[in-house]
Amino acid sequence: MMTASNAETGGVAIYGSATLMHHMTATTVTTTTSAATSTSATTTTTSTTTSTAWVAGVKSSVHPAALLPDPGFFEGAEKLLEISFYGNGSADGLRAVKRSVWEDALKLVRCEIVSHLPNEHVDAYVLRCAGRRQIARSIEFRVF
Amino acid sequence: MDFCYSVPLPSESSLFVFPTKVILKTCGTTTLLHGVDRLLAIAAECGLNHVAHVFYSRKNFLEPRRQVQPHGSFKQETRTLLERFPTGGAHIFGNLTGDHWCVFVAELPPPAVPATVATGKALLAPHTQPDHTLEVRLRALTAFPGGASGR
Repeated sequence: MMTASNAETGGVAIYGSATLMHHMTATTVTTTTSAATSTSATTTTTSTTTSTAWVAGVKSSVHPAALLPDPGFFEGAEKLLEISFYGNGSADGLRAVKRSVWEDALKLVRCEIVSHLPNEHVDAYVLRCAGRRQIARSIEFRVF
Repeated sequence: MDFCYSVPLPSESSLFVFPTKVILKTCGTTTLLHGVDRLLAIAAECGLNHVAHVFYSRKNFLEPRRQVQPHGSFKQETRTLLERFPTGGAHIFGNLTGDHWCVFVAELPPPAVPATVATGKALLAPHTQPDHTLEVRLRALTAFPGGASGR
């Protein structure tokens, strides 16, 4: 069969399986075959295959539809909620709330606290999301 | 007051607790809005009975089908927020067929100032400094040794 992938295309897979062949255009098949035998044809192959939207970016020789149940997928987009309050109470306000109370509340959100970093203005808690190992790195971020 | 904070920003989720403000940021399939009622209850126990400002935002999800309701769609999320903050409004910024941001904002007026404040208590209000948020999104991170790979 044809080459499994082309390094120069940066992840554009060349589909080699006969069962997947029908997803490809005749043009793609033709130029792919030439890429397997001639490096000079590589550039041509790239432009041809990336013109098929679902081919671009796929790094394995599997049809994109088969990638959907990917157990390793993680939704990186973050949900952000900010709420500020008026009130009448201790000057510490929400900072008087114990860690255990936040831990309990965060169960509803499917997060858990992994560390607590207080300073004079704010209590910062690092959380671990549901179904994800902690990326044990952080960057210093200064807000003016 | 000088509002200059230096906090370590984790790569993922975090909770920031100020005297009159909470910022909660979560990723993955977390159920952020399931925690709103508890958050309001915790604040009320601290004497913070009046919401001043609500801001909910997220980028469009890559795979919304994996989310737990109401996070499966911004319409559902908006409905959940409007039940609690009926004066709020939902906005979407950006390309609806590409990258876009979903934002819900509610601004509520301050409550009437009480005639007397109990001993040991203080009137609490959110700070009035303009709020600016900088979000940096990274893609295709290389894997950390021994850690989960970025996506």
